[in-house]
Amino acid sequence: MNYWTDESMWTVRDTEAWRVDVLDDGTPLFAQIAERLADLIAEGALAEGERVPSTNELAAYHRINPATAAKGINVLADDGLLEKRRGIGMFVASGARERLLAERRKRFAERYVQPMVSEAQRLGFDTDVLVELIREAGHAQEGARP
Amino acid sequence: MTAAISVTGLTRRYRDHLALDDVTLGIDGPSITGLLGRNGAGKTTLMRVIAAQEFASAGQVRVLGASPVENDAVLRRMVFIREDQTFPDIKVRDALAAASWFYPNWSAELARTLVAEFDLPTRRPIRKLSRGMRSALSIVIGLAARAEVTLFDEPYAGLDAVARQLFYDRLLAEYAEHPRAMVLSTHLIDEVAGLLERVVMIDRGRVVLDAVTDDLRGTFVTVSGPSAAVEQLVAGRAVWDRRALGAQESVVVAGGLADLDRRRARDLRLSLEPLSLQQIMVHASARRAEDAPERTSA
Amino acid sequence: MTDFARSTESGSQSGAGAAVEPAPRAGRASGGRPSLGNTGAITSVGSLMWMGVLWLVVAVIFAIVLGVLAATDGSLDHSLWQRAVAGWQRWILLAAGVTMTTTFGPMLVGNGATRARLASASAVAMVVLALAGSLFITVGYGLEGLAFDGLGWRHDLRDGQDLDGAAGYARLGAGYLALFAAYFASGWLIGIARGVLGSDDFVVLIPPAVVPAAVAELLLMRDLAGLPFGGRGFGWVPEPAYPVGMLAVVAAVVVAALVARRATRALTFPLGTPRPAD
Repeated sequence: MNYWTDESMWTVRDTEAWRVDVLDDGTPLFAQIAERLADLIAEGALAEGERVPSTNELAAYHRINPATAAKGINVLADDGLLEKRRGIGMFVASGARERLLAERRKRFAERYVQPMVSEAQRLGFDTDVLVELIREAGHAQEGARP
Repeated sequence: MTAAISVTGLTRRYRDHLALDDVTLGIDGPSITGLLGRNGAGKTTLMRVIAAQEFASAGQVRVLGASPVENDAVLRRMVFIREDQTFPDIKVRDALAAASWFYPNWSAELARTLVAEFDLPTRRPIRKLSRGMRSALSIVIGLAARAEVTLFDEPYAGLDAVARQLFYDRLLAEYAEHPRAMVLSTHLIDEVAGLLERVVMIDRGRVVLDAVTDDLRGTFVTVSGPSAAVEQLVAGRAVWDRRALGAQESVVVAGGLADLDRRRARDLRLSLEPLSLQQIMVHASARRAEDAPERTSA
Repeated sequence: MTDFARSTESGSQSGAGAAVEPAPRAGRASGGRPSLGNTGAITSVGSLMWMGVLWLVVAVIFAIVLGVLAATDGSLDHSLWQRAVAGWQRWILLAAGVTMTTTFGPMLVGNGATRARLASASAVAMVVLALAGSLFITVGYGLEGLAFDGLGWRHDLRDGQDLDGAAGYARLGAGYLALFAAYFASGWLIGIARGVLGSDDFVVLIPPAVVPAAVAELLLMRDLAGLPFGGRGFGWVPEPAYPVGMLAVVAAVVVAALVARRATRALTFPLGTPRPAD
């Protein structure tokens, strides 16, 4: 049982602890597929009214079981983000992008800000330092943009 | 609905050991099922009994609703590809021609495509093929047979990673186009994890785990960090493994963690790591040594 | 379109949940897959591939020896075919019988043929191979006779019989057909015994397995040209009339084939795996 001797098993990677909330191997595959599709819709790569890849296309692309891919698509369909058109396939529902973005904005604080703040507290940063760091990072990003 | 495969209380005894011990499992319709286990766990024996190449000592095996033993109506709708399939001393193309006599749904077109993709020399006698080429030929037959029940028992001896990937891709494409009950036994678990809709794990002749793969992911988590904090989180949970190093501890819990638990873990500064299918398999086998098997059913 | 094609097309979106058509019970007349013709061709042609080569080599060597004798002004007054070739062909048939199940069982049953079909295909091979062997022997005698006539040699057999006339050849051919079938049957039984019991324990089944061959040797002995055992040491055994001997051999072969068919049902694959405890 080699993997038990793996050093990393014993490292407490608390800086990464928050990552369990975002996509990782522990999330069921179908949920990851749903998340990927949702990303594409949120980014606008899959426009509203556009056809979503079929179950088999997704399965072949991600090398996963078609049933898993179907489950992923169904998650979004159940949320009303995709709509089925008989005999043709699944399409991005109108208003899907806006709904996704609204949802993600709502979850932003919980998913990204809270873990960051608690980690900052552990490291002894006060809020002003944190805000300054965020501002610097923001400038760097904007500078990098064309 | 008639189940593709239905095995009830199957036991296979040999003089000196119990190869299968009260195995029960059912595969209802088209699906890709992984039959996982260590070497000698009983995977091959189970497949051989299902394919009627071996007999049950006790219990019942039904394939497509009937016993497969000497039942032509069942056997013609099933293909079983063994590890190191043996062939008579003939050429590759003759073996493919003969295979077309055996399987009613044989697709010569698919066979041709696969032969080209695997780069198989059709005019070469099989005895002059490398081990990997023989495996590729078996795979071609197993897929082109388009049998409703398709059993692959570690069919990739001698195949490199590229050829195995080709096998997985073609298996998936074939399954998408012509869904059938496929069972794939393998010890290269992480390689095929994504393909499997369901996993059945066998250890020393017994089924130790039978679950839908999606339900399994994230069900087993390694919690590690300071012992006190770890114990606080895992209290009251099914613990599969526990290791300590000084004040640090690493515990495998079964049953998954709710969002609330994950938040608690974060507050307790614990590291959470989901177990891969391979690791789950190792733990399921290790547990078997200690106590009775536990079925995590879906 | 087959049931399967229909059931798979309807379920091609996700694959999950599509029903599987129930299989009919065993025993319904369904033709079988592959057909007896195909499987019989596999076992017969598969065996003839090596036997044919062997016989070809034997025939060529024989022709060369005869040619050299004639060219060097040698002479013979007895059949050389009888002394040099005809006698040991039974071992070839025995070998074909012994290897039948181990060679073709894994291929046929491994690909979903029933064991009963394997047994029938082996029986087809028995008839085809015995016929081929008998033809080889008879035609050999015939050609040798023509050659001897041409050279002005006497074409006598060792025991003083002569093969003149179609009736003589027919009698000879029928005798060899029965003898070869009997040897094949014995080999076939030995091969199955080995497949069922493994390479250690099968020895106990050899004595019953050789019964067909022994029956053929004892009852057809002096009437068959070229038998290495025929009559030797068995002079005290009353020899039945030829038709009676033939009938007895045919009966022995049929019984052997039925026993083989029944025993084939106990085979597990791959062959030689451990036997059950119960």
